[in-house]
Amino acid sequence: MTSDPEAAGEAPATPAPATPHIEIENLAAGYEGQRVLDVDRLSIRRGEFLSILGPSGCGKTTLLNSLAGFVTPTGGRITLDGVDLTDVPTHRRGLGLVFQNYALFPHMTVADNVAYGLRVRRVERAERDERVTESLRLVGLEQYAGRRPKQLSGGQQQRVAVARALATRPAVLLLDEPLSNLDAKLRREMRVELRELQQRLGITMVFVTHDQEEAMSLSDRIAVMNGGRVEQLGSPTEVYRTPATRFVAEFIGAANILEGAGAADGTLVVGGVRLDSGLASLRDGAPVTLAVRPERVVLAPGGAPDPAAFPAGSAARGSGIVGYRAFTGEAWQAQIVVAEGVALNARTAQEPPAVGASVSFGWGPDDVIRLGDDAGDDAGDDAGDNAGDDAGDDAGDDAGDDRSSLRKPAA
Amino acid sequence: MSAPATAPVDGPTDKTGDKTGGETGGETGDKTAGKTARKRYGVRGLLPVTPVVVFLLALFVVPLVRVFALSLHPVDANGYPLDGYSFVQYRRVFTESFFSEALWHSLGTALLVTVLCVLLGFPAAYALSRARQGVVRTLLFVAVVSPLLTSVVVRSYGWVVLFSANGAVNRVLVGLGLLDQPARLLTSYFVVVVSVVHVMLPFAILPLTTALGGIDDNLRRASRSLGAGPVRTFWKVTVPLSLPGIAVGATVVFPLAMGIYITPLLVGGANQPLAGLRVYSQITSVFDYPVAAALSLTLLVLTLLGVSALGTGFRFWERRLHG
Amino acid sequence: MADTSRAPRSPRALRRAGRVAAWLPAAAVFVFLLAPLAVLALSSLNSTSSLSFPPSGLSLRWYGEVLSSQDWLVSFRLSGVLVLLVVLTTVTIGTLAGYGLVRGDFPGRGVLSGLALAPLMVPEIIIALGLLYYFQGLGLVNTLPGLWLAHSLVALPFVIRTVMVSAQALDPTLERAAATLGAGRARTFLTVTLPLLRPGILAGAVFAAVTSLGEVAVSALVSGSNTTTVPVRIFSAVQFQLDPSVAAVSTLLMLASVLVLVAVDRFTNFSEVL
Repeated sequence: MTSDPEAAGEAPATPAPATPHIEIENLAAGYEGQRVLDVDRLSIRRGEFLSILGPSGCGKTTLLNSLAGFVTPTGGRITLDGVDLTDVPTHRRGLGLVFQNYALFPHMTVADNVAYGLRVRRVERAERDERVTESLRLVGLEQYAGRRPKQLSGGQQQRVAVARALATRPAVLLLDEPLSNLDAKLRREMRVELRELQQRLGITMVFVTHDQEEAMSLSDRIAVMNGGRVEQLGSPTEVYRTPATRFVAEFIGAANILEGAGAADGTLVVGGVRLDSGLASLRDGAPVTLAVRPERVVLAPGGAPDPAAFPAGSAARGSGIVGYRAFTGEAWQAQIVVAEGVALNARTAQEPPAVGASVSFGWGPDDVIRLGDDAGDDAGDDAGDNAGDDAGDDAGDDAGDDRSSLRKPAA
Repeated sequence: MSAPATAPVDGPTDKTGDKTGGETGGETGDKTAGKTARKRYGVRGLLPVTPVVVFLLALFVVPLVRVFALSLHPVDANGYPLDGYSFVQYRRVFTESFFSEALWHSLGTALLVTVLCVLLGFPAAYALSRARQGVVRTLLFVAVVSPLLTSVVVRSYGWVVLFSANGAVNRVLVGLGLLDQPARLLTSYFVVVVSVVHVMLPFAILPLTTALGGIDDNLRRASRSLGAGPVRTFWKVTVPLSLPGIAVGATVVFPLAMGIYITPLLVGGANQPLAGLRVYSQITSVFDYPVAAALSLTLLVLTLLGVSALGTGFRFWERRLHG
Repeated sequence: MADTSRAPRSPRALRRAGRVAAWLPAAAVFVFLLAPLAVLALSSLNSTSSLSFPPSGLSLRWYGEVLSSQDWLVSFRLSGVLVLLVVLTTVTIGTLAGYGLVRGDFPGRGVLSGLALAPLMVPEIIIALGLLYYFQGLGLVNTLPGLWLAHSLVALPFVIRTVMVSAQALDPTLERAAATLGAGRARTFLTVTLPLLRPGILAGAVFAAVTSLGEVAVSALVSGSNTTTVPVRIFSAVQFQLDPSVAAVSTLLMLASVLVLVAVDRFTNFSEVL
């Protein structure tokens, strides 16, 4: 499909949710008994921008390398448009890949770099030149065709790498942390450019990153990975508003986690301190994990403030002492010490009380995210299992839905 | 989609490759590449190494083994090898001072040459590593590499010319009144050592330059900023950090110096009591191959022992420095 | 510190003197390295038949004598042919091996790396005896193939080592990039790997060439009257006949090595891979 110029060109500009494009099933990879990747199921839709997000060591690079064919999975399979890729060598997969270090051939000019894949495919000279120019124009570098990679800046090299990968018109473009070597300003610019390119060409992009902001701003969907598993797959808003696991809540948006015992009236005992959770009721005496985003936390001076100090929809939930505060430019960052070992982070537009002053905090009932309590027993179990899961070395044999690590099936 | 989803994929299963490969990437047109790209787990990269392995087995390992077999041959009165095996040749090597003294002399000379090469190589390597890019650096580099590129006979011959009866050294000595008449310098041990050091010196300078060039300039600056003078900085920072280069240089120079025979033969004559020369003369004038084999293998064992002793010494020293 | 305008001069001069004193040993070593080569080149210009230095008069007569001597010309031709054969052989198999040893993933890789570089560590007289005895059995003494194999053995470790240095510096993602663009193994090796290994290959070729051009330790034993290479002829000439013609040949041999180096240095930064 890669040499067919129409295939990529006529792909719909909007994702077509019905067609699974890449299917990953029971994929496991590792070495010497150590499992670094264990993905039960992940489908990537045609024309979507999917980010694979996770901290370093979460298996996201191994997943990408399995897709590209650099890593041989120990079990499971990957299909592309129904074709099993397991035994297809990299050079026949027809996937484009943009490397973190760009991997531009230093002994070739920019134009020769971009033309490389076309030469391999024996594209006629005239068409090849045309497509090289077209690809370079896409990234705005047509005047640099004769330069060597070393003569370009980091951002320009990055663009050449994208142009090179796109020149062969792959159906899928894999990107391995492509922006991490750029400075902050350039990174934001490249983000916009990448997204525009993807929408214009309608190609599927799989984007590996550890930067949640990058993933949130670029993606149609995000697969959050941890410990070799996909913890959650969903749109940026889903992943942010309804994180499936404690890991997702903390990794994306650095939520405050409140772990304690619930009570029927909706209060929660954390570290010996009684808080109003904001929820109508919690199962009495059961362990409860709640998450609250720092920017949802509202502060008011004094331990027992006037209820009017809280905006409509939110109410005081408890009080503490300001342990730390800092002005970060667009907002204030504050840490409220609630009890021994229990602290809340808050981001507020208003200046919080000085360090050492008592303060009350609150949030609205909609701002509380319920994690791993009675609503999702197995969620908590699975999260705990991840680290020491040596139960099934051969994932292919016990492909059970019960071990699904997808908290939010993308149905 | 024909393979069952649960099938574990472990290693080079031959069932799939070409068919699926043709479907997904067949349009690339190079059909042979698909086959060569099949991964050979556990032996990747062995194929390109094979020619060299065959070459070295045939021309290095087998000859060495045959020399070993030869060294076990007894000989008749005329020096012709006889059938059977004995250690008589090794007994000769160890008991006849003609051979055993040459071995010790070779060992001592090789150690002396190694030490001299490191001592002389250090300032040269230091200058080379500190020289800025440009003409000076290129010239210094050429000075180090050009002896390396020049045949050993040519270099030895240069020393012969310098030290010959009417050579420059004698003329200077006579001219200064230090000598009444030209001395016979050429057969002296001093000249042998000088010329062997000359042959080996580049092998010490190059790794030393690499090691010295790899030392972060900020370490020297840090030492200076902490109050150490240039001399103290040199001894306490530069020298210890160049130890890996010293180790490489010494372990390269020592074995080469152990077996050297062309240079001492040319500048010192065939009677220099060095093991390499003894082997050479046994082969070319006495035609006693078995004893030459025994002597050269003893030299080899001594060399390997020396190299590993040097290696251990340097490792110990480095560990003491770096903990 | 207002009145220091004059005072620091002496410390500064002292420091400069100290720096010069520090460089002096280095300068002496460089002179030592070049001295015999320079002496040889100069004495080859001697107008008399004595090998005195400095020369008693300048002339090119010894070069004329050498270049009109059948014996020397035969040796020059033989050495030239050998250089070509040896470079071709060692660069081909040495490049493959150097790359395979760095990138490979097979049991015994460490042992093989050791074996590949072992001829460097074994005293030359042992290799010479081993090949002499071995070649006697195969009828290869005093033949071109014998010298070709012997020189290749001595030169091979240099090629393998320089290629290994280049291969270690080679970014593996470049080969992966070629694969993602559709290039198979062979194509990737030819279009990406080989061009990037070029500095190491060229440096190895230089070493192989000058090794073959200057080899005596092994050649002295396995060559014969029909296969006297230039350095072997110098070797016997130095022992038996001391006249400036040998110095002239030696100078020509040095020039040949320098030419090889200069030619290759035009294509690569030689000092990078040493």
